Amino acid sequence: MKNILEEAAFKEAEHNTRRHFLRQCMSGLGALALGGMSGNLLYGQEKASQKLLQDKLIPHFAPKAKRVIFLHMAGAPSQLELFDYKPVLNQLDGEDCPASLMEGKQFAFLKGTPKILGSQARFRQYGNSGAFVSDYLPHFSEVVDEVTFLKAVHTDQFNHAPAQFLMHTGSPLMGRPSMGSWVTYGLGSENENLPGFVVLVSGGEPSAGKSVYGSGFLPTIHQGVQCRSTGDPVLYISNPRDIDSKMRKESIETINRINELEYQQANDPEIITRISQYELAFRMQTSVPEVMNINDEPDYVHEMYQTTPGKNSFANNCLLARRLVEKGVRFVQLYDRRWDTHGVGPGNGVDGGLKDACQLIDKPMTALLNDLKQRGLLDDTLVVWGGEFGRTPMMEARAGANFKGRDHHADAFTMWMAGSGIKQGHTHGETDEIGFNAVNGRVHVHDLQATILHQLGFDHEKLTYHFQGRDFRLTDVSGHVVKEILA
Amino acid sequence: MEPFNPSIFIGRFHPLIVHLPIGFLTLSFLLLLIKTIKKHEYKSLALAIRLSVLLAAISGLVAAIVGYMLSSEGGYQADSLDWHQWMAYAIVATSFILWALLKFYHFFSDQGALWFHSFVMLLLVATGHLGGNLTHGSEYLIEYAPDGVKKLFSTAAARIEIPQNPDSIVIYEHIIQPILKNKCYSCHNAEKKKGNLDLTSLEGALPGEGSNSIINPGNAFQSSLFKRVTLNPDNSKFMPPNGLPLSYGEIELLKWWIEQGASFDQTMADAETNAYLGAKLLKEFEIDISPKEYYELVQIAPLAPEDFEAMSKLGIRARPLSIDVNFLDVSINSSGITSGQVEAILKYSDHITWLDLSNKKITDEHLQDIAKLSNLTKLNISNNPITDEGAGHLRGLKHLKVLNMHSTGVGDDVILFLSEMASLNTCILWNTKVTREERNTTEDKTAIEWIL
Repeated sequence: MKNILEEAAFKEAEHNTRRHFLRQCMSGLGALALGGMSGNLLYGQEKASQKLLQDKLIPHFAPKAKRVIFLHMAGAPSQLELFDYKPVLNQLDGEDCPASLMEGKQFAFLKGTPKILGSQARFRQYGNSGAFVSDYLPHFSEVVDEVTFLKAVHTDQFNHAPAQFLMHTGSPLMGRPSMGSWVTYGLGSENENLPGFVVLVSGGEPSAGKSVYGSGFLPTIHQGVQCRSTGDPVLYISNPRDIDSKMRKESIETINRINELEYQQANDPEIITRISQYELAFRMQTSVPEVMNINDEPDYVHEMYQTTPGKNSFANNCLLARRLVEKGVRFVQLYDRRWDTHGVGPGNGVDGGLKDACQLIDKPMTALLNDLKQRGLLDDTLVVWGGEFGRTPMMEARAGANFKGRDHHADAFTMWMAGSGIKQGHTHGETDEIGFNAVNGRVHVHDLQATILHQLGFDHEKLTYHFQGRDFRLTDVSGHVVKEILA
Repeated sequence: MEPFNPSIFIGRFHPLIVHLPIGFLTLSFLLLLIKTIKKHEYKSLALAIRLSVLLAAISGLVAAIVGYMLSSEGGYQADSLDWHQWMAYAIVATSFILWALLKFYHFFSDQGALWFHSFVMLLLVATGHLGGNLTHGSEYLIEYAPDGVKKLFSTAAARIEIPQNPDSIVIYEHIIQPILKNKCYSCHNAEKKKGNLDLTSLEGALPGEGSNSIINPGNAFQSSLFKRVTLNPDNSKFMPPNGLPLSYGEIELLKWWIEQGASFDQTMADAETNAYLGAKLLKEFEIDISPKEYYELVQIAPLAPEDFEAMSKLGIRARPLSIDVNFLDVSINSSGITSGQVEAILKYSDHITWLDLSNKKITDEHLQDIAKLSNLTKLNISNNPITDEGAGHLRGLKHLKVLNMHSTGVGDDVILFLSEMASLNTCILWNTKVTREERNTTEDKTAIEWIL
């Protein structure tokens, strides 16, 4: 017991940094003055606690999108086998990579003089827009006129976890709030019974772990809630044995009354978060199993999405994403981990392995776009697809030249966006003849984030949160809205 | 090539020579100051002070003569030039007088000399400043000053804020003038009319006709303003002669403005633009000329917090679209719409521009009420038991852009009146009785995207 108290005192001391001290001095003085002027009106505790949760920020300008579905292909799919058609790369297949190309660049595994690896896929142009799509994605090629391709996205990181953090939290280091958290912090949820930020995972956790959908220093109510497609959709959502719904309700009410008292004493906003989490958890006991149960979908929907109820798959998650946004969930984040095609063994290259992976997403993501469209949801839902970086035009050959693999590549890769105010059938940006560098229309990860926030009505420079003495934002100190892709 | 002109050739050495008297006068003033303060130690300075003043007077006379030669070149603002000239003569004259006093008038005290010299110094500062303005333009000195200083001293207007709305952007004032200001005003202003051209008052001297006019409205290639900035940079007539030339985008915009008629009050909304210009304006000026939504163009007063509270109590979720757009995005929480909610929706009918009533047991009667929401731009009434008859009420919604009626009972009859709704852009009719054939027959006639 003594240890715990000592630790608590130590923790508290830790939080009181110099900046906090100075700030508290200043605001203390201000509050004294204000308190005197307003005749202690400030101490209406109840109001303050409610306000904290209800206060949603109003968008800076009229939004185009109300919701986001982010399909993250964890591991980073090869743009050269899917969207970025480079005939010159195919001609150079097997040639030594010139040393000048590698100079000053960092790669995770490439060593010595690697050889150029031609695309393993066959490309054709589709739709009125004439976008190139490979034969790895036969279904997706039907919907190219719905999307904008970003062909020249680039990032700062060439390893999975930091690059995933950068993509989703704006910083390669752990601990910042993720995009979904920022969005629910800014806009709140449209459905009281569901979390505003839901995470669906297939093929294994992303390498950055659960922090990549954490809320960082934002109130923890904005953390991404992972829903599973097998077993309980949310862990421990069912009542424990011998506890019925009534008892659960009463106990939560009692706990919350105690917490309310605690808040009035301690004034810690995290207590409010906890109270509302209990309430939300209770409501989720009925709402989540309902929305996560895809058995009630008609057969043609299952056929369209390639779904099998009860299975953990990207397909199921796509269907769930549609169901969740239909119910008003703000941010649905999908992670599908199977894309790290280094070619270190059979089934791990950009030939067979990548093609197999594509088969698991091709029909579902196409169905998602079509389904959103026919329900009118694509009008105010933004769909974003991509990996954390791209892959090199050079062959990695870590395990010999028998397996065709590509290394991580941060300088140029393809992503696509669709829906709410994004141009239809458009391509932005271009890479050089072998897809190694972006030559125009470069889009940094921060630019992408700025654009997503922009479509939701936020100026990314103004959506900030004060922490440790300064304002933080998703795009750190950079980011430009890619206005060229806005319809 | 300019012909040899001895007067101007020598005159251009004025800025060089003029610093001699400035140096001598500063020196004598400092020495005099020291001598006045430390009377006993620096008695011997008297001779040096006198010599320095004499040198200042002589070099000042030379500088003034050379300066006079320079003024024959013209192109300077007459008013400032006059002051500069006469004040310079005064400095020369007072310098000679000061020297004479120091030399011949032995009762002249150090204090007296200091007062006299201070007066000469004041003249010097004022004259020098005017001269600087004549050479570099009056904004030169504070161009890179902190904002506060700039505001205090600047005679020109502060950096122009470009409005967001295309009908508030005056092309000349917000786009063309800043280009001229950046690249031309430093030489072609009211004070320093190089080549007798003052671009700062272009509006006043509206250019004439013919190929020699500064601006020939409607014809960029007969406007010397455009011709001079697009010459071969090696040509001596190329403008601007120093510093960065106009960028490609700036030249394009200048050309576009002249060809549009070189109007001084035309707004962006009145001008003919195209996608290329749109991209240029966006990139270089961050001006977004893409079409705005109805609710961004029309203003409405914000609702009071009590109004939101009242709606919230009835299970209506209402939010203003943004900080500046007071129109509302409205949906309801209950599983079916209630009469209280209908009443509230009608009460705030002017404010509601997005309405989501998907799966809320909306019937044809409800649509009669919804049709009164004249500012609706997005309506979602999908998954409801409505028919063609009810949908027909919606035909009067003049600003409706997106209509979602999927999974309802509407059929082919709606296509006819929907096609005539002027602002309708997208209509979602998936999972209804509407047939593809009916849609196809009207497809060519309207710009509506039908989603079946």
